[in-house]
Amino acid sequence: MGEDSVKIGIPRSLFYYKHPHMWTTFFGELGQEVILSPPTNRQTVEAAIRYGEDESCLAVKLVFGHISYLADKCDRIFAPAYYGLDPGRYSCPKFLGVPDISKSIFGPQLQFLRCEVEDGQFEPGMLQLGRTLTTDGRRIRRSASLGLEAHLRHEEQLHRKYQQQLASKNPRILVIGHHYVIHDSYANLNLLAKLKERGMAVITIDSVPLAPVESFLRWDFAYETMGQLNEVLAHDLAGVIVLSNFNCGVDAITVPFVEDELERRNIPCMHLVLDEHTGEAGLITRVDTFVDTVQMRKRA
Amino acid sequence: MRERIFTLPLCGYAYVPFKSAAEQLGLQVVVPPPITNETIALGARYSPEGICLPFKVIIGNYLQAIEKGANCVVFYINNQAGSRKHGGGGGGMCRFRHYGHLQELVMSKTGAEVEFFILGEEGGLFEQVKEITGKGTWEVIRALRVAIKKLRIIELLEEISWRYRPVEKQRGATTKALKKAVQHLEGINDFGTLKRLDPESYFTHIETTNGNPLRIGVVGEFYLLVEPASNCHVYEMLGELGAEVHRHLSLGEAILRYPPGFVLGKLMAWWLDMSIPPRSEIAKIARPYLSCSVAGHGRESVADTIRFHDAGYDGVLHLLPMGCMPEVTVRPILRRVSEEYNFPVLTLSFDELISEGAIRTRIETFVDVIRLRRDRRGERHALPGS
Repeated sequence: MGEDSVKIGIPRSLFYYKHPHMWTTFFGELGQEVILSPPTNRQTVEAAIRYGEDESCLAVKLVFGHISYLADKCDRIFAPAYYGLDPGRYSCPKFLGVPDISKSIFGPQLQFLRCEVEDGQFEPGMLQLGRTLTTDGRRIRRSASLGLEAHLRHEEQLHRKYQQQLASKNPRILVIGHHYVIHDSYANLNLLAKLKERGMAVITIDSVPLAPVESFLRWDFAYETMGQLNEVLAHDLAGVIVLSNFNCGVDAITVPFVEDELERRNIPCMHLVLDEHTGEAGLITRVDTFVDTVQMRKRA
Repeated sequence: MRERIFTLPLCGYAYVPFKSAAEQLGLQVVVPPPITNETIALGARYSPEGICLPFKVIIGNYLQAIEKGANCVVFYINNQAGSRKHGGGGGGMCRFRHYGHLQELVMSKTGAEVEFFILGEEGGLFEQVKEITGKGTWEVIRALRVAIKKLRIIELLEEISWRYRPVEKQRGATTKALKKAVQHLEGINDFGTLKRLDPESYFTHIETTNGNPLRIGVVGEFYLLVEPASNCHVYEMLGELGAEVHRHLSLGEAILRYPPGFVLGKLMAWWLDMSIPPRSEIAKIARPYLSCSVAGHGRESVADTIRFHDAGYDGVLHLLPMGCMPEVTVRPILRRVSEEYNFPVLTLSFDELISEGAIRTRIETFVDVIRLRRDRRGERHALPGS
């Protein structure tokens, strides 16, 4: 090969939950060593509180917790710049600042790998990024397409899960939220498991295939949520739980529209707002009450 | 069809040019009453909890204007600031871009019957104005010409007032003069008179001391910079503590940075005669600290903090509504700029529960700190009111 492999750190937060296999596959195929930070835990949250900006949402604080773990264990940290994952739409601007803010917090010596993604086009960014790591053009192209394939397989798997949940006899609960909120089980205090324990069929919004919808929303993931909601509302739902982080800018706009839609369809909806101080007892009470409500409506 | 009576959100003195243009085009206008704590509480009651302060204030404005008889709302969203990668300022990626639709939803829940006109949403501001008013091109141009000129004069008046306030002999004289000047200006609808007007002349009667006041730059979120009631009147506070202020964005400058369409943009640049650094220069100044745009005026805040430092200011005040997506993102970066340049930066975050007392304490402390810094450098300064 000729090139030295570098250790690439991937924080297990934000974009990781959206594309869990794409980037690990891409870097792995390029022959680089990938270090994934461990799932959010007590230490991560403590570091997040220490380093994070106090008015950011929990997810953006947590990314600094993960980066603080990676800082001395790898050569470069991977933080892609998702300008927009859909043509003509934008991603959350808070993500774009992650490398620069990290340098302000941990010092300018921290090295970042960036991959610019505009209008949902991954390949140009991947090729450009690959060239900074190796000169073998064929290998870069192969790694990029394998990475994208890995992501497609991941999505198919999610859709299969969705079909399984639809086939279930249990009351269906839809959980709406950003992928990094729904799937970070430490930060959301294991909400999905709690619902399953109580005999609910849990549909996560990211497993739902997208049905195109007219929407004024300019954020890609907000638009996606509306499209997925459009699809899933064709089926019978027992209830919806909206999960957001405190001070999430996107949710401040989206959630009122989701709630409005559900209200018109007479579907019970609970909006849970999480931050690093959320206590488990409070969450259990609310989940229990919600499940009771859903079951009572079913009997009535 | 009932008669349309228009209102708009209060945003500094924007209502003056708006009223003048609308009335010249034959529209009826109700200006919302001045923003008080009641306005903000009213808006917060109906708005989503997590939305930023400007939205809540605006809803409060609408509700109070509807009480006074308004039934149509005009709102402006600058949609031109689109490019994700390089620009993304103005209404680009932040929540402001979505204000219009959310306002409609929130207002429909309050039960108020109100019609929305969201200008600039789909581009073609000029055509929209023509459609609403039913007037010809020439009349619209004439009305907008007067409005834009007025906007610029008012901004100049504000700037002059910031210069006079720290050195005025009699406390409150500048504020009084500014109020009088704006009132006078409201009545002038002739372009020729406006053109000959000297904004400085409203202030020349004020007795001043020969001091060398502190100079403080203000950066941050646009609405808070422009609407004094939303920022607890920090400009007046600073002035009375003996500091001259200068903000990095005014309403005209914000629009001009991301012009609403080619024609209006060019017209404004010509009439307003403002020197605004191009986006590429802002990007260049900010690059060592922030490599890309983070929506809104986040990158401008970073670049202009550095520009204020280079221009010899004594400190920078950074204003943001709590949770503001772009400004929260740049806050840690401003902290780094402040450390590396050894330059005082105070960040103030506002929400609907903020009290003027809390802000005053922090402003007073900040002014004391930078005054001490200046004293150590052995420079003279003016004491407030001396």
